[in-house]
Amino acid sequence: MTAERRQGAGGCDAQAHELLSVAEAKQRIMDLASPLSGRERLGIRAALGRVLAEDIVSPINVPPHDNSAMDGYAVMASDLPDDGERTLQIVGSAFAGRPSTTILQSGQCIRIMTGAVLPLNADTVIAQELVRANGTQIVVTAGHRCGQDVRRAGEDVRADDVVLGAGTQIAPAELGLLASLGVAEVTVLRRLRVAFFSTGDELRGTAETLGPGEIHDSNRYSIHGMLARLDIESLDMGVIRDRRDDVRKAIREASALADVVISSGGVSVGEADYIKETLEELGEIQFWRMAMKPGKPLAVGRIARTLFFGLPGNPVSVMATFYQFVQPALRHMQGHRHETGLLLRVPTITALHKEPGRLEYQRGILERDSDGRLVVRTTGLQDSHVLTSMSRANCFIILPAESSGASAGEAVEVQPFHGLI
Amino acid sequence: MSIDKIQNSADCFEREPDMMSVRSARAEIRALVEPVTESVTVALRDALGRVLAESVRSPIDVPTHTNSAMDGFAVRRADLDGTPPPTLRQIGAAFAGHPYAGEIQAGQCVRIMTGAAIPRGADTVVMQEHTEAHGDDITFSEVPRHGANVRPAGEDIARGQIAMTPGTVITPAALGLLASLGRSELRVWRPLRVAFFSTGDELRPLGSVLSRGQIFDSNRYTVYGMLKRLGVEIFDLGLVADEPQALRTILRQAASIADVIISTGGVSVGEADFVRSVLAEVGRVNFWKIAMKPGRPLAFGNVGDARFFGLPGNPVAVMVTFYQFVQPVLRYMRGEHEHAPELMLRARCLTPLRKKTGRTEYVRALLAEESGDWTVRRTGPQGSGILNSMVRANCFIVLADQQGNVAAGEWVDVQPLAGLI
Repeated sequence: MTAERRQGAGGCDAQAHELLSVAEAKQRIMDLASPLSGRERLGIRAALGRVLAEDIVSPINVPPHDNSAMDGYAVMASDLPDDGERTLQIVGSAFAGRPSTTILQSGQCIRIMTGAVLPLNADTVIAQELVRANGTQIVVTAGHRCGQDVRRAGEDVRADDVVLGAGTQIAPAELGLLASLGVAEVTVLRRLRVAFFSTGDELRGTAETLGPGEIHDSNRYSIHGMLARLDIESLDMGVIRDRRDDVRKAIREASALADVVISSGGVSVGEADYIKETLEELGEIQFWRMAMKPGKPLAVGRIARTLFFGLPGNPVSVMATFYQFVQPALRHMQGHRHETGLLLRVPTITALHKEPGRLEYQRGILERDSDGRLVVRTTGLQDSHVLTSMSRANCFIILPAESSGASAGEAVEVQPFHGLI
Repeated sequence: MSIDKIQNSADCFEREPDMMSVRSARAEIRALVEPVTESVTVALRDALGRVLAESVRSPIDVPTHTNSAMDGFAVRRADLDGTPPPTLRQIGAAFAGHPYAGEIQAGQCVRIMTGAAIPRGADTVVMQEHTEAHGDDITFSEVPRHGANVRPAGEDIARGQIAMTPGTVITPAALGLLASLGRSELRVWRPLRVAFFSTGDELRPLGSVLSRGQIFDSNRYTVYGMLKRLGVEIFDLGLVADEPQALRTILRQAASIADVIISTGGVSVGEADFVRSVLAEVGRVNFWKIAMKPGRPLAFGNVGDARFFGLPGNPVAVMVTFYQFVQPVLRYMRGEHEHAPELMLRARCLTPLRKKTGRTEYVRALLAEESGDWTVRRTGPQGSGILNSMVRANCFIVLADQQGNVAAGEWVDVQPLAGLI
């Protein structure tokens, strides 16, 4: 943050009480968003990342039979010596997938591999490292326990148990668990559809030549990226010129097509805006000024049944408000359980400048110092148009509203991007 | 995990001094792999999640023009030095995209919006909140320093400067930044190609009817899920019969299409394992016993020109060895020059843990925040066949080689899965 910004912000303190707190804004947004009701049936691989819309009841025991946890010998516990040694005859072998058909008798054992079904009458496995074997017999010493190194049938999952409840997100481990039960298809919530557009007469496409005062539109690209990470069906409506008819048409189209509409630009106090006027006319939208930085202005509401977010126009503000407000709402609509994300307290190695009044999401680089400790430093220039502050960052440094910055060495709260992003 | 099992394992570690530490296995693997060297050109949006293969030089200043950081009035700072409160005459307005065409003379000011180019003659912006309008006469209640609220052209990135270097992962922020530089296409490293298959006579594909001793093959689903998140090209070669010719054929096929081959099952010491001889025939593969739990056996080497990972067959061991050994290597091979530091937290362990020294244990656990402190508890039975321990977990408790038993309340290292996955 530069000196003049601090000077400027100081004069704003008188207005701080009009600003909506981040916590209050988050709460109001979550009250507006409700989980989707549409569902679809998918093969389990296609369901990776989705949220279950049904309870999954196991049709089988996992493992289906008592089996060996080790490569070794299956024995009867009654043959285990209390002291001294006991010699057992090897009468067969059992492999995973090729069970032994031999019924074990006293004084006998069966060579058994990890995962192989326990032979009839066997109840205990002795790891191969723990016996002396000579090819036809083994010598067992005292100290073993009945049932050791045996995985019981149903130890992981019992038949008819609910193994995954509705609302569970399907991550790689859930995928494996479903496969292990033989479940090939599941019912999940349908994908969320989100339409987005940018507004601003100064915006040009990436391939266009810039005239005076013009910039390339970057917001549609970062929004596309953030939505793609959430496995959302996104509809890019392009750049909307600030003309009454264009704006009206875009907002109507977008809200008819999507569950959620996101715009960037056109919600701050300005003069050249048909956006605000049109939103007020077509929907029930609140225009907030939030006690946060970057990203003071935010418009939230409904256009018919579609949820609407009007984000600020500055590229960093777009990303910060998306991650803090829009993403949790979208995830909630997708059926995910609410998670606050990982927040760490680590020392900052650079001084962080801030004026009291607004909560700040400064962009930081989380790294390990020479002692292996996690520390954070600022990415430098923190103005809300400076997109490098975001692309170089791997975390937000969250400085609460009342904070007046932090000096080097002070512990600050950090929200790592991996996990968030 | 049962207590007797821990004791047994501990015994066998004492008897097996040829155990390799997690750290040296990682180092040996890393020494044998190289990043991909071919690159491809893709449309900007398609680059999301890929790895940049070029240095991106900015063709423009960012911001392009010296512009306003605030909504307010563009002034000549010297004009505000007169008797307070100074008053200037508004001669026009400047919007983002619609610059003011004229030049400001002494005694004049221009209404200016955030992002609008600073009109010629002006050098300072006074924020709206510090002004009062009486028709075209604007009175200034506060006088900022010279240059206040003005963002110089090139402040973020100067024309010709390198904005991004090879090895950068294209995140949503990077996408936005590249769009703002007017890039429509990018050179990225070609995707890494990863083939995988599972082995084991007891395994049956989903949809089959299980007979005694058989289980469904779940590993190909977890491996698929874990690979999917890494943005690699995936080849699922299916389930391979426990038979030398089938294995030979699949390995040769995999080596001809993939950079990396991952197999699950068939690498532990056992009689059913002809895997070693086939691998010795088609490649050079080391079979290690890693001092870790779960996941003791690990094979690594070359098959043809491809790198080969032989993971254990137990579902949890597959996931743990994938995250600890395979994932970092795949990220390195796909060209990532750095990634965020491994997040390792300290948390208070609420469950006592049995642990023998001499190996690293990855205990599946639940990390939570309780009154400002991180706490962690393990997720029930820890057998390496028990996928439920992974499903319920949001972290690994990492117990290092030298660590012994952990009493309830002791501090432990925790690796959150959110960061890992």
